[in-house]
Amino acid sequence: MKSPRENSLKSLSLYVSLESVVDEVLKLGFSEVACATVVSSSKFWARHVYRNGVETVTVSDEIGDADYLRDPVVTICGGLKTIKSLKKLE
Amino acid sequence: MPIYECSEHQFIENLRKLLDTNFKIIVKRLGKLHDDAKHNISRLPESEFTKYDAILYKKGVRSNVYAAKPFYDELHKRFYHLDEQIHSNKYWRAVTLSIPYIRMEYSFDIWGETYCYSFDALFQPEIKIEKKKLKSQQYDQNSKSKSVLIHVLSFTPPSQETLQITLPPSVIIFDISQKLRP
Repeated sequence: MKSPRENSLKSLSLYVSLESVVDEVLKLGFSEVACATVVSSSKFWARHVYRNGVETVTVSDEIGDADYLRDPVVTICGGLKTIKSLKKLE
Repeated sequence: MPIYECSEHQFIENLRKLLDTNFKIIVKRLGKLHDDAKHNISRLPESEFTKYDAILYKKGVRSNVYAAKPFYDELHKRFYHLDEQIHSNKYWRAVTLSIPYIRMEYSFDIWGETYCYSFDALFQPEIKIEKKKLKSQQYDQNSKSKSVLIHVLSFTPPSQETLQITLPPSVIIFDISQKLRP
């Protein structure tokens, strides 16, 4: 049985701009703790890690010269309130 | 045993679905440092290539890369002359400057199947002007060893936070150093 305080896991692939995702994350009281360039699935991503106490949100945004629609991938290990707020952006 | 490669989104969502059904999951985490020129400098997106602007230039997208200034690669202990070819797009195996990276692999097994997600976190370049004592053969064949003020390229490893996927405490994470297949 999951304790009510235990963080939940959720990943969202959001068809919205990176700026609106970051705005929402910052509004929720998170602050950026690290950033790195990663290569996954043959694509380059800017991986930003945000923390708010025990909650962690990772925002991976594709970088590169391709002009197709990009979807920032948001991975949340946090409370239901955080998940609900970011899910609203879907 | 089939192995399924997942994207970050798929891997996390698969894991979440299992956690929602109260499964106890063990996630294996493997991190390994590589410096094998897999990510060559000419294939970097423009926003990444600009980090090397002070010392490198190229004439177009996916074209040869040259030294814009004489510089010293501290990690590989190598000196590059002005206009020296750093990467040949035609002969891509003749790569001279490699970007080191840490390959992270996350996987879990269920019902005899393995689901994995992997990514390479690149080291970030740092370019400074420093006084370096270079050997004669590195700098100029006609001169003796001497200290010169020169652009120095070094690499900073990605921070631990970016290598980790934060998972709830109910997920057990095992760190491993190698995967052995029967």
